[in-house]
This record gives sequence, C-alpha cells and structure tokens, in this order.
Amino acid sequence: MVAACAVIVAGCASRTEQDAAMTSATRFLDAISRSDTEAACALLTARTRADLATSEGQSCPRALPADRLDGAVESADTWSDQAMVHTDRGALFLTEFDSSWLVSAAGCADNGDAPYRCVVGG
Amino acid sequence: MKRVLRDNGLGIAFGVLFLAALAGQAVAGRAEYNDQQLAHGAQAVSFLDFVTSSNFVVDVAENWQSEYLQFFLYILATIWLVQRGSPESKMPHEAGPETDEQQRLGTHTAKDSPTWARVGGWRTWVFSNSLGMTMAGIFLLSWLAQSVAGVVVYNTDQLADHEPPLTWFEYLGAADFWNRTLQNWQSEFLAIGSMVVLSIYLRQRGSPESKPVGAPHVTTDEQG
Repeated sequence: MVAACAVIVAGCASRTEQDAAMTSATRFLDAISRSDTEAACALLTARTRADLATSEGQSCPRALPADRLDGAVESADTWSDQAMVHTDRGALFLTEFDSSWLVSAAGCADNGDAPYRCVVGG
Repeated sequence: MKRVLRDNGLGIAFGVLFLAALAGQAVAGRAEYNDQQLAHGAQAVSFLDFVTSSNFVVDVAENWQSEYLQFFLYILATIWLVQRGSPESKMPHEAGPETDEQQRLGTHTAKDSPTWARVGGWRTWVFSNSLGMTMAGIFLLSWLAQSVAGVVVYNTDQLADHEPPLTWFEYLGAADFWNRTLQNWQSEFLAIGSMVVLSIYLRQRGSPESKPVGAPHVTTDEQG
C-alpha cells in the first residue's frame, strides 16, 4: 500500500504535463523565430529574465541572444515541477508555476558529465 | 477506558509520538523545501502539496525501510546468534528454532493458543514466521516506495541543475539511492548493536529491556 501511494503521489511524468511543457517551449521558440523578444522574455522565469538583464546590462528583450536560440521541439521529460524539452538543436529547461511552464534555460547543449551548457540561464 | 489506556499504554504512547513527529517533519520539511524552491527561482508549495509530494514521501519511506529492516534482521538473527550476558539474547544452548515443546506447538498447544498455532500444516508454518515475514514485507515495500519517490526527487533536482534525468532502473545504481539507504542502515545496525552490548553491563530498573539491577553481567536472557 505504501508503494502504491508512493507511485500515485510520486508525480510520475504524465502526458498532460509533457505536452504543456512542450507547448510552452514551442511558443518560446516561435517567438524567437519571428524576432519577438518581448514575447519570448515573457515566457522566461523571473529569475532567468533578471539574471539576463543583469549580466548583459540591458533589458531582457534587448539582451536576449535570439540568433543563438533556435530549434524544433521533439520530446519532453517532466519530473515534478521541472521539465527538460529536447529539440533538434539541444534542449530547454522549464519550471512549472501556477500560470504555466516557463523557460529557465534555453539554447542548452550536452556537456558530457557536467551540466548542460546554456546560452540563456547558465 | 482507563483500563484500555493502561493495558495499551506502550502502543498508544508510541503511536501518538509517531504522529506528532510525522506532523513536525511535515512542517519542517515544507519550510526547508520552500527555501530551496525560492533559492532556485521556483515556486513555493502549500502544506497539502508538500505532504503529497515525492520529497515528503522519500524522506518518510527511507526511514521506514531501515526501521523494518532492522526489526526483520534482529528477529531473524536472534534465532541463531547469541550474545552472552545480554537480556536481548537467548541462552547459548537455545540457539535455533527450538523444539515444539518450547514453542508450544503440536501436542503442546493449549486451549487458548492462537488458532493458527493449533491447526498445524501450512497455516502454522505461516503463523510461526508471521512476524519476520511482516517486517520483511513492510521493509521491501518501504524500500520500493523510497526508490520510486527518490527517483522523482533526484530527477527534479537534476533538471533544476540542467542535468539529464535517470530511469528508475538507473537510479537503483545511483549514489543518491545508496547514500539515502546506507545512511539509514548504519544507524539502525548501530542502535541494535549498542542495545545488545550495553544491556550486558548497564541496567534500567523496571524495564523489560534490562536485566534486573542486581543480576550478574554474565546472566543471559533475563529481564528486569
């Protein structure tokens, strides 16, 4: 019974959550592709938006390196309130909030045993 | 009512303590979790969301599995292994599953012996091993729960750190799973070992876990 409860509450990745994360990632990449950095920044987490502005010394829409962020969403892994969305160019990482899934890191490339190296979000 | 409380005081007291400690763990655990959430730029969670989360489940399950493993191994080990001088141990010459007469089975059952002790066959075998099997079963289920909830917590942290997740099978070989498991096991085995050895030389008047205060250190299997 304990194991059954663990499985139920464990937040095993559901199709719904994966689809929601992929939808947010797609909206972000679509905004990037049409150079709408305002819309793209609105889909970043507050922490990522603030860190980008601080590190670049300008507002998020101006600082966002849109030319280095592209790709087509292929699949997603979701665990609790975190998601990793795979694209044909690498990956994005997202965090779930009440409102929706927001991008915490984008333009991420596999870095071997180390964490993914991301263009936005570290 | 008074008699019920008196006759069941030990079970009731520890039941209440367990519930109070579990509630306290939930409160403190949620506070710690939300601190980490905010540090990661993520969202804090409600009390209900926390106690139904993998974070809470894994912290509870990793403790439960080690407790029930401790009891299972202790119950099993004390059949065959002895500790001279300890009230936790049988006498050296009594090592093993003992005779039917000693266990009041077969022709040695009484009218008020439990039904499954009197009937014989597989039911008596099951009843004869019911304590160990129950402890082992709860241990295995709790350990499974720890692994299932643990892989969720681990992978959530992996993604937050921009690292790829593991499958459940891969997680069974991961350092995180074994660190959680072994840090609990070491304390359980230490507790049992301490109790077995310390009870040879130390006393607690009135406790059945202790030898009588005046009993010699070499006395084995005598309770106060």
